[in-house]
Amino acid sequence: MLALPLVAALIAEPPASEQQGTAATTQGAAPHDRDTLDGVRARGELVWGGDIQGGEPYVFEDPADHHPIGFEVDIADALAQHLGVRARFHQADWSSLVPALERGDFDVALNGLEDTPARRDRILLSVPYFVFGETLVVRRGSKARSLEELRGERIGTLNQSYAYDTLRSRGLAPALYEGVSEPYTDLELGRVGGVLLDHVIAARYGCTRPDLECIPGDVASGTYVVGIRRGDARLKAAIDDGLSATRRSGRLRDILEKWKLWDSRQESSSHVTTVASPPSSPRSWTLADTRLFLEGASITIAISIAAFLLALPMGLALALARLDRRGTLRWLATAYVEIFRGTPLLLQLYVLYFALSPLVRLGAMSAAVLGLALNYAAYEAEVHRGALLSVPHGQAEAARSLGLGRWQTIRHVLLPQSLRIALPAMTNDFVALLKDSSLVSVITVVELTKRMTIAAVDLRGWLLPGLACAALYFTMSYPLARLAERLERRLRHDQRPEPV
Amino acid sequence: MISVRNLSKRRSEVATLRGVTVDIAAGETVAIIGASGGGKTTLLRCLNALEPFDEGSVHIAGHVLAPQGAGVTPGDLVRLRTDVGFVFQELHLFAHLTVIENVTLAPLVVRKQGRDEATRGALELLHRVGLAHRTTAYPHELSGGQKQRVAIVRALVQHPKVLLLDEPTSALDGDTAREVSGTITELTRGRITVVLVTHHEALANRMADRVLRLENGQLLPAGTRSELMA
Repeated sequence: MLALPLVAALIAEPPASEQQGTAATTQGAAPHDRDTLDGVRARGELVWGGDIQGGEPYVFEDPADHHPIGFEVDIADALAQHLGVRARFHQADWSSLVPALERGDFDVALNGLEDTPARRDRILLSVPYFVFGETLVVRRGSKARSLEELRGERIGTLNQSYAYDTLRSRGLAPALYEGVSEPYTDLELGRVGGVLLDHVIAARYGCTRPDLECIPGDVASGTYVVGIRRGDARLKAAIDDGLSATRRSGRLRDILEKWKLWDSRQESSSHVTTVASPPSSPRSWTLADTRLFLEGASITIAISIAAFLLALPMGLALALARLDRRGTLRWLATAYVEIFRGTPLLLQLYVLYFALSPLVRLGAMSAAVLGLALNYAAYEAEVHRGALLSVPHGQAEAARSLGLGRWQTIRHVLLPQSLRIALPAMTNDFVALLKDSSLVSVITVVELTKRMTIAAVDLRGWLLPGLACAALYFTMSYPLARLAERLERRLRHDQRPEPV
Repeated sequence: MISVRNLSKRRSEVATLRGVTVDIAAGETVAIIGASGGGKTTLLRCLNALEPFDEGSVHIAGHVLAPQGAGVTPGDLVRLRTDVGFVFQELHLFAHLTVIENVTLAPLVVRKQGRDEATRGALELLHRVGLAHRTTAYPHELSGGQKQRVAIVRALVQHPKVLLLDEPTSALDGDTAREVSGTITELTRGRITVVLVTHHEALANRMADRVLRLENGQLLPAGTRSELMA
């Protein structure tokens, strides 16, 4: 079981928009008037990028001393040795490995990077070092034995993976995850109908679960390759040469056997070509994109409104509890506010959706709404507490002198005044919530921001999807911001201090 | 109607009361004068349990108050406060409610009257103080004298047996003050027991059947110190 992934990759693999159209003659941050190979030799080290979150057996932390180990560490070492240098691991988010490579964060990307036409268009890819199959995993006893039989259900996979392309090319609905363990957890819980991922992942994280069943036979197959920047042709040649030498010498087989990865698939590696053929050529913005973006925006606004409508009464109750005379109630409410304000929303979403799933089985949308509501309740509690405290004390005293009870005083005298005071702050918080709602993509909800990162991959550019996304957020939040402004102005007008 | 015995309050933010004893008959209007900080407001607040006291007892409009609010339930407090009206020096009109809403809040919420009945009662009183035309105004739209009258009507609309007034005219100019004090007298004379606190001797003499002086937390018969010493 992986530890909860705390870092979400909100940035999917974006194409190098800066270089659109110019066939990548210029590159990112790294100096490219000469081949990176020269730099590697001069430095005496090959810096390779990967994501430790990918887990066993790729690259993961040695439980003993936390240094990276895995079959790709061994392959990187073999390659470096071939080049006569040392290998150094560079941690990067898996779904943005390619842009990080293009930026020049490391020399090569080496971490379960699949050979896809899209990647081929973008960077140089080495000869393969591993052949994988896509394995479909379903719940034990499920009638579905193939992808086709799961049509209409969501199928879990990793964002930016080959399996994701496979699903999309067949018109199936993917549910996107950032970690390798969570899709299988959700499959057990019935949140998805099946999971399609590389056989290495399936064997370790899926097939081992008693309630799940791996369907024999590969749905598709592909290869892992080393990613190299365009323009580094000599580095690519050296890497290819290194991989071939490693294969010829039997060292590659030793490494794969050491990690229990050697199987019949590897024998045929030189012949493997891409089986699934996902859409590869960059396409332009279509009406369908507009529709999907509007759909994403409507999910964003629906989640935000639902969450805020929940957060308001919760916040109000918390505020009243914090002002209660009874110590326990006050203490509990204070603890709630401090905990939910003091920890990241992202963490709360993970805990709610994944960690608590054995106790409460929430759907992705309900978890998204509830997670945002629980978090924003803490902020609303503070807004309302401040507003209640800013109602002049004499107002409550006058109510008491007329015989109103505590609750009647709150209901008829304090709240009507404090809500007006709180209104501008509440409106601002709603705008903030609208934007924070993009975080729920980590629990597989495809809202506006997620829609944008997906489109950015298809369109090979951030610019257009980014602008469209920004425009939609702005369209939703700007009227609210203006409303807050107007409310604030009106409040200054109305709520004159009570003259003595 | 009111019987205060040995009322003492030691730790008060404003002033201390030391063994205050006083009896006030039904329908009587009593003014309590004295320098500010002498405990006038504190005494008034103790009479309708807005503040607890340390020793002594208070009998007021058929209710009994003991030190530290002992034995008084929330229900007792509600009954006490419908029988004893209170007008604050700062008025504390509800800023978010109109004149008519300010006045009808307690009848609607506390006495559970119907809206028609509550409105009728409120309009009758507002008419008598000359504010029938201002029912939909908000407090910040009213003049000082109008606000004062709304506060008085709000306290009287529940037909209390006792009305407690804290500096009822201190914020008003001379003419308005006289008008307001006239209104109070007209509305209460002979029917409602009134205790008013003021530092304004002329007002006290004009309105009250009896004037008492509160000094250093002790209640003295009115008159100058030299008269008392003689």
